[in-house]
Amino acid sequence: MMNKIIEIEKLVKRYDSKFELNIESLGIEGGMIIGLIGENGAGKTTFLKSLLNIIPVNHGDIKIFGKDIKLEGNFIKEEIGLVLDNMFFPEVLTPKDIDLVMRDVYKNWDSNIYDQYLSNFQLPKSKMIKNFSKGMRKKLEIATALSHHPKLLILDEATSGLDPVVRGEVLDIFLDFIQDENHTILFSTHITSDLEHIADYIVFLDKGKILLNQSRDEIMDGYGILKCDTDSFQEIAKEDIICYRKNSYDYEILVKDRDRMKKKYKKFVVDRVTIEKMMVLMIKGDRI
Amino acid sequence: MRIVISNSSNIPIYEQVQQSIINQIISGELQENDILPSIRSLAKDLRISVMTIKKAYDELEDAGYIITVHGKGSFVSPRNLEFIKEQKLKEMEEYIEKIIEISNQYQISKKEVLDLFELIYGSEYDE
Amino acid sequence: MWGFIKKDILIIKNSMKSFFLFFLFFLFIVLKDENALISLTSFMGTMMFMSTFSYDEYSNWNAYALALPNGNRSFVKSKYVANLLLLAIVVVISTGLSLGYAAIKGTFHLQETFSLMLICIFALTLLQAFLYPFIFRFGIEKGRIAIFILVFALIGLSSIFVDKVKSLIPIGVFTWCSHYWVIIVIVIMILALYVSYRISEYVYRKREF
Repeated sequence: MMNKIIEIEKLVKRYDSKFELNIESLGIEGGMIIGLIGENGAGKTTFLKSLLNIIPVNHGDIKIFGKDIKLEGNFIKEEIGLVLDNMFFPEVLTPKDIDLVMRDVYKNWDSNIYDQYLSNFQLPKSKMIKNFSKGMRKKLEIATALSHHPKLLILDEATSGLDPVVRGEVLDIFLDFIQDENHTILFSTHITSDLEHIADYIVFLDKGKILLNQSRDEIMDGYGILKCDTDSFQEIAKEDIICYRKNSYDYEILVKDRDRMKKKYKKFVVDRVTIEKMMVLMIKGDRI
Repeated sequence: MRIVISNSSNIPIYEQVQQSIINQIISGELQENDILPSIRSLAKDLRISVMTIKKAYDELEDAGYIITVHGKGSFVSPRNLEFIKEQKLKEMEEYIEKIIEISNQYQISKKEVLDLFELIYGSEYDE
Repeated sequence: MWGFIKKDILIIKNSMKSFFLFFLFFLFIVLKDENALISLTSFMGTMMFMSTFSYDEYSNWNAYALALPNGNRSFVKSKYVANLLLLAIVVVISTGLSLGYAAIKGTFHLQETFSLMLICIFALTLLQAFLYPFIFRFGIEKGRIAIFILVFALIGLSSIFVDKVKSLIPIGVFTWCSHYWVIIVIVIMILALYVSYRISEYVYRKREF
């Protein structure tokens, strides 16, 4: 029913240093919020930059809206709204200047909508960006990203560094955007609590590779964390353990199929997972 | 429509959504042919994922509580409450069979079971 | 592309304040030495224009631009076109100033003014044609030192040698230059800019952000 908005095959981006982004295959469906999570340095920004063809890649076929980014990049970019980490207009410009510039950049740039966002966000039109607070700046970036009627919104760490109130406001903007079922949001963050509720899909990146790519419900309702003391660790069947972490007094074990595990190991606690907990266990935990 | 979601609850969120809609259909707060909020707007209001709400609606539809008309929205099914009640009675039957199974297994008499039932049912619901 | 040029113009407009000291310096020198006028105007213009690279880089606009439609081409092209615009503005301003200066002093050296201007523009264009690929590849921070050295050397050399060179060349050559060399100089400038543009476009595309 829903089309794949983003299709990636065999994407490889190697840096001189040890880091390598390597994505075998990834398809992202439209009409949803996709959360891209991972530690700092896991490759989230590299992934997004490769996706948008901002940096040259070693290898990879990338299609957005069914079109090849290398061949029809300009067409694709008309339809994408961007909030990139630490990449924006020069600081001496004002929101008004951005309007003037963007009119010549995007065919569909809509000054009225832009003005409306500015007043909704209570951003002064003629003040230089360098005088803006971090929250104001982010809101301006979001207003800029939304004002040419994009279908796909790509956000890199758009909520990090913001206080909880502004973060809430920003998430509301995303939820508004997604009211149109042709709209898609790809959203990278290391603050997983932002995504825990609103993301439909989670793509979990670690050391340049995809560790997990599942719907939020599959993760939140499927996985569990089994807790047992150090003596009873042997009682847990090896095939049930995805990964585990040994603490001073107990073991935390990531398991799949929470309900079944609850029945199988009645004497132990099987908690729901949070995405953060899962991320930590999968990155830092041991495997058998 | 009222829906309260608890994030700390052990029940999956889509089930919580589903359950509160069913409860409101049974209690009559939601009447036949009432229109339900759209998936996306409900997701926004509850600040939860669109997929989660979609799953709840899909399951409600499969169970016959609501119908979705493409392009128009989701409505409460025009069905009498008797049907729902019947379904619930069937569900109860299963539990009772389970009780009988356990009582047979451990030689608990019918009277003991009924007494227990009286005791719990009475103390919880008589007052 | 015009959006990107607008952006550079707006940067210069909004950052005028920070050039205030330069303006004072400029006025001071110009009032003392008529000959420095053209080279200083060119220098000021170049300084202001170069500052747009710094602002771009500081806010990672150069990477952001790549994510915008036609960003790759527009970014490189806009800098070259803006640079030509800047040269035009420098010509207009320095001509205006020279004429004004001459009017006050009552001495007109139109021929001399224009040859000097052409030499200045020629030198600046070659300098920029040479520098831009480096800036697009490595960024302004690394290119900045080279720019300073080259620009100051140029000014130094021109102020020392222009008179000597002039005295070496017979007067007749100037008149001959004005209708023959001008074309060659312009052709060289255009060629240099074109080659430089092509290289810049290529290296910018390959740049890591």
